[in-house]
Amino acid sequence: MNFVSLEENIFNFSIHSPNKIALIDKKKAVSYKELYQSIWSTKLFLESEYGLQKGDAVIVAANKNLNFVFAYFAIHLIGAKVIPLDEQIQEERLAYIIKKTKPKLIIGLDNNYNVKSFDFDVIRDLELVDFPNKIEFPKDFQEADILFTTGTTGNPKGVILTHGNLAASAHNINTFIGNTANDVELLALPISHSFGLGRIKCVLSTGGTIVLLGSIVNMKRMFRTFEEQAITGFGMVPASWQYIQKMSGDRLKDFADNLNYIELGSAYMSPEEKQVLIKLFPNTRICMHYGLTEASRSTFMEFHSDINYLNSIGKASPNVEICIKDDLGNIMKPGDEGEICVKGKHVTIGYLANENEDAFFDEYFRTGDIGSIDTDGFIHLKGRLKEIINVGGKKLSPIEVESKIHEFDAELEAACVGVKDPDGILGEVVKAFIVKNNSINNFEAINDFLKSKLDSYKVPVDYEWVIEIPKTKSGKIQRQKLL
Amino acid sequence: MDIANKVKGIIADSIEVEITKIEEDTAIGDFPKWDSMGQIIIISALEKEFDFKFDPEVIMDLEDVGDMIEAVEEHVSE
Repeated sequence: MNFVSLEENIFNFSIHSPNKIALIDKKKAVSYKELYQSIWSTKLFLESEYGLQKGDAVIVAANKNLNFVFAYFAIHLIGAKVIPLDEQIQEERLAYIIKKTKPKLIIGLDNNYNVKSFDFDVIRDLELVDFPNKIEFPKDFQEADILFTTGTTGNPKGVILTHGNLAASAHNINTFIGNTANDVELLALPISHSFGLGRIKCVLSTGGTIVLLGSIVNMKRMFRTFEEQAITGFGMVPASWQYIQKMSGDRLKDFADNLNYIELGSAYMSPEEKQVLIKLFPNTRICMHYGLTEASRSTFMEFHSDINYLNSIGKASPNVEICIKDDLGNIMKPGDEGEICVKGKHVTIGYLANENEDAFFDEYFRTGDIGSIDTDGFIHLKGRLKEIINVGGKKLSPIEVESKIHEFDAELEAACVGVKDPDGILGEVVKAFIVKNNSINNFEAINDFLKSKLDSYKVPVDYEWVIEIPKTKSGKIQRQKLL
Repeated sequence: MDIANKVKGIIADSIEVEITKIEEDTAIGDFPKWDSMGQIIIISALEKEFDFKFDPEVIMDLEDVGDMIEAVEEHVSE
């Protein structure tokens, strides 16, 4: 496949179908022509007011609004890099990321670090100008985004994605799901992560329409939007589906006839839950991916056609190669367990500051997940090398929670693991094992402290006293032994 | 304590804000923690405290504090 940047793809739609609606946010609809005018106006503003240049980095709050979309593509057209961050980002994490990336500008977030910043309203109020008919588009190997992911050490890790990576991901996903320009997708996922942000790119690069919705929390509003906008595509994580079911039963199936596709991902879903969706949506392509920020959507399965393999994570996505390797990097036979490794144009060029130790086996990215491939090419996920906990699709390192427990009381020894959510909503939740000592006899104070220091999904839902924390001879915590 | 205040207290605890910030028209999405998880936590806490289960049809209509107070009052008076 020849490289065509997302920005060029969207530009082409603004020329060939200028009046087609690209984006809808609340009552406001933006055509492809208006979208590019807004992107262009934002680009000129960022260059003239803030002197933004090729290679600069810009932090953008991942607030799901039109101005985010304009800023995102405008920064790319300048040749600068976007660092999308959750609006609710913790101070400590923001400070770390600013230190690591030295952004020239921050959009949509306050900061105390002397970095220039402004709010999204500024973009909204810009006067629209026409864009030229010839534009210099981003190049294949130019850096586009830096996405921060949960590092195994507890510190976030910056994943560098090039324009080539982004274009390849969108192309692979659209090939599998089968998006067309006629699709109208409802986006209720957060866009600070690869899944949600990716949906915007996928829809806009096929000339479709994307409807922005804050979240699914207000179910009535969600169903109203399904109806009013005649939604044909929808993305969700398994925890959203749990929520939708708890709040509204099977009501989503009222829209089944109109839904061409549902994309699922980011966390485990049981074969039984997949069967429920198959029954509710008999004519919808229900596509579930397995992927990482570093290698977006590396495998895909479609529930109806892969009904005999619902216990797998599907096959390698279009244009992606997957193999299982042993710890020396040798390819293993079908059925044998080893590390899932991914190769393709969508795979990151590496981490910020060259923190690439053990990240690759030659051209293959090491996912840190353990699995096997069967003779039909289906991949079975068995566990993780990296001890990341996945709470409803949000990931965290146990070390981050353990270090906060240590901050509460330096005498305390603790280890955290992911356990099955007793309420069955989030898949996994955090459980903390703490060695009992004389200074503390209940978990309440620890829990209160952690609540004040951590995002709520990172706070343990369960605690247990233990006599000791299992460790290797070299002193490394053996969390698996606590399960 | 009347039901309205009790409900407000439960909501405030669930989404970790001061009870003084909870008005009858405070709604889903007004606080960062009142997201889908927050909504589930609130509903479970109300069901536990007042010992009943919301009807699924009713759950969808619970958009703000006033809705919740009303729904609880209906059950308690039954």
